[in-house]
Amino acid sequence: MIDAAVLDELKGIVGADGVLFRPEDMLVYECDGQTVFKHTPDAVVFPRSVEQVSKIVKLCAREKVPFVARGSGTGLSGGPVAARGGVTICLSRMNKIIDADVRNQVVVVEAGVINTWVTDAVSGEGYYFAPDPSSQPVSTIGGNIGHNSGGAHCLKYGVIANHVLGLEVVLPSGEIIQTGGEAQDLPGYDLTGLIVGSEGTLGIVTKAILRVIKRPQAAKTIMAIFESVADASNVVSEIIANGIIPGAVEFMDNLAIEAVESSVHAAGFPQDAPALLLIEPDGLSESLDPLADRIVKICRENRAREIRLAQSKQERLKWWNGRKQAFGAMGRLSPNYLVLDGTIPRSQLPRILALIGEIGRKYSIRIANVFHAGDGNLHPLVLYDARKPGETEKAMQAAMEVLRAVAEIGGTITGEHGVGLEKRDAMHYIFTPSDISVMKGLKATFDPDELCNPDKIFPSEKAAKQLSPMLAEA
Amino acid sequence: MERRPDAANDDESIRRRVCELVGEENVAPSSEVDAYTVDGKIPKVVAFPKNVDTVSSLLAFANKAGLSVIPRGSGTKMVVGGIPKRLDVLVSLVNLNRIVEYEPADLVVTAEAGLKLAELQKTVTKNKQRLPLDPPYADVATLGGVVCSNSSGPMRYRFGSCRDLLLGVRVALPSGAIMKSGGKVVKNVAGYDLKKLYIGSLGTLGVVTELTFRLYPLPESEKTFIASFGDMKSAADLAGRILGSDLLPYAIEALNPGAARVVADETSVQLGETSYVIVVGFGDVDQSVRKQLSTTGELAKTSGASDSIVLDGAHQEKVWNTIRNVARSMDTREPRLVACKVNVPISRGLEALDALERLAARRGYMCVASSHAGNGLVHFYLWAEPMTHAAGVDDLACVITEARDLTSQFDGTLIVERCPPQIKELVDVWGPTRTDFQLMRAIKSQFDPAGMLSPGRFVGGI
Repeated sequence: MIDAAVLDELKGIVGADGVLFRPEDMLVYECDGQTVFKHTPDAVVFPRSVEQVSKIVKLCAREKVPFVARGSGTGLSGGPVAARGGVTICLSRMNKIIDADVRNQVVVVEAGVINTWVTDAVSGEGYYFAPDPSSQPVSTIGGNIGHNSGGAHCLKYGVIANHVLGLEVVLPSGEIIQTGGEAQDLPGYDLTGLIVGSEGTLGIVTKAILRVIKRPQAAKTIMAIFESVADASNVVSEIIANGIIPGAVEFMDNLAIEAVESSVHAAGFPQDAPALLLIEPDGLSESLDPLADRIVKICRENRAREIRLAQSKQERLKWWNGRKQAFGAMGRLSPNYLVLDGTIPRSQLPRILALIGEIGRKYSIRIANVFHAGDGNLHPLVLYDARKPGETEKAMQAAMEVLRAVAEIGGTITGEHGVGLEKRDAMHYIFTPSDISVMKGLKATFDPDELCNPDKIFPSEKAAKQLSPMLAEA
Repeated sequence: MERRPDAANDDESIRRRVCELVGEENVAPSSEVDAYTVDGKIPKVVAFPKNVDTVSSLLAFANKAGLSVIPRGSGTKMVVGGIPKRLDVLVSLVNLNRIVEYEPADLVVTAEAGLKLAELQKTVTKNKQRLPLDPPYADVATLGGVVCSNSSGPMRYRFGSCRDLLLGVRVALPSGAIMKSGGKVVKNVAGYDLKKLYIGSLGTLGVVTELTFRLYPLPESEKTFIASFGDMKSAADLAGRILGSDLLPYAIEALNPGAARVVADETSVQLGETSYVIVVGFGDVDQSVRKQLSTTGELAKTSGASDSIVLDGAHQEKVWNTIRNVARSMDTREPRLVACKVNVPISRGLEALDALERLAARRGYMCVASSHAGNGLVHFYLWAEPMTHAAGVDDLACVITEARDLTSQFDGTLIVERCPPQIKELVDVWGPTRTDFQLMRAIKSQFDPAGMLSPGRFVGGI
């Protein structure tokens, strides 16, 4: 617990209206979108400037109080959970768009700016911010950067790291630094690239220079329905093998479709369909007819039951909304669910889907699949009922087994949700103890006192202990 | 066996020890080490390890013995960076040259660091794919060299640079440990993205031994549009119009008359004697490429182009190859060449090019300059016409400093990529450090506490 004097100092920095500390006020901040891991902070502060963030961090450093940055709390791995209590620094009041300059293709924002606002700032001139995680109407740029979130269009347009040119960061010492900048290839190590995706464990990002790009002139959205998951996943591989990189290729299995269709976001997906793809080539309008023809042909060759082309912008948006609301719609099928986030080499899609099916049967647990098929980023949804004793543990076990399978076929345990608290014990699936010790060394270089979002990413001591006998045997 | 510390570090015993580690046949004869000199520093021994384990044991040995190590690929970028403080062991990666894994369906390839980019392209082209990195010296440059010097070419406009294409690395650290970062998937946020640190790090944080890249399919059709202009302003106008349009070019390159002459000399393509030239590359399905060429033609007319042509096939390949290698043809012509890379915000690239060109003219230097016009990057090459100008080192250093001041007025930075070593003693090739420098130094100390790797070559003397 932080003491009253520290609380007073926090109030002195941000004003009394910028500090929450009553236990009942802390409940909102005890977890993020991943509700299994919970811990309340001792106080939540709402700074309005980088100087205030720096002062808060310096105070925490002096008092050895842990601190963690938080945006909108939409994370899915427990990243902003105050695992050791302390101060949660909520950046939601740092929400100014500082500069929108399409001539230089940049938008400069404070970290608390909502993802879609960036596009709103430049859409009048035909530009947009490409990274589009499903949470984009509510999630902040700071949170997106922390998790290197990408969304549905990463195969063609890359993840957020490809769209961040520079950062302003408050280091765990409280020092304010700038990394990168509007100009590309600045001399020195790419600290921007290092800090993106570091889940707020190396410092607090307060400002970002983002790259915006011209919106593609046109897009065609194709919905293809398949009688089997295998046919749908073959189509994904064949499209790419034919040299086509659509803006997005999204996959939903029957359980996911059922959830969406029984929710308010029903998009007209056929409820009995075993598998569905949303395929969206984009680019010059001249290129779309030939590309769509080729994609439709590939779908037919793989026994698509039905192929629909979005006939209007409204229809396209309705389909996308159905897809993007799929996680939330799971509430129609199950009181609780875990969202996983492994990424696999695309050619392994049929194999991993079969393995996930087996794991679901083994644990008698339902696992829905909805994912970014183009870039191999899976989002298996493990459905469970936390009210039933043992169900949460069973779901977590099944989830870890899915991650292990993903790792074994050459994938990674998280594509865009982060390791956070949830997956830290799965880090051993993909990294050797020596890899992890280099990362830990880096963490110590930035944050020697382990105050900046502690206990995230790295395997817990319990897991490390379990691993040592395994290594000794090997 | 016990060795006295002083005896252990004489040149002969270092050499003997390195021979034991990598095999005598993989160590250059003493008579040949001069060829591996870096800015006047001659290595004591040059080793050609054949696998990552040997690289690792070499590093561990050097670390223990207090020796400095500089890694090297084909050597095309050894001129980049500050003068090394020390050079004991030069580690050439050219014998690590295998493709480790290539899965066309995943558009991903993993290869060893010493493999030539051109060899990789040859392999993936068979599946109508490519790594869209088109740096200078692409025929000889190694993958490790390209990444560790963050080299790129005109195609970065569309496909980005190493930081956008590199998915994973394997690195031998000074301790001898072997580290992996990233993987073989496009989306990956597991652990810290350490691979980013290695891009452009010039061998100061470890020896990269293996790299994984994402590939792109070759387009159905590729064509190149070239327009000539009487002045820079009109050329910049076309570049601006293309950038603001719906067109999706691969590359937008601007050439000053000097660069245009290099291209004209080395290809059969005539671009106009004193012209500023815009070269635009397109690739897509055929219908789209045709449409884009006609739109660009109209834009060029509006901007006041005096002339324009469309190239395809071997012709366009030759032109792009020459553009990429303007620096190289300069290198061979002009031993006292100064090559600079200027980074400014996108819209200011051609203004900066214009200003730099004027500066060169005012100070009596010849100047060849080109720009990745959609990225705000300008490469410019300065040299003195020997007949008219003494080109003292002091004067060149002075011009570089002026050019750097000029660049900062455009909110950019200037890196000297090539110059005679005497100039490096007068001018910091990297320019001033920024607020993130202390952190860079701390990272360097973490990875290389003894400061044994490429000491002095990087930013701020790292």
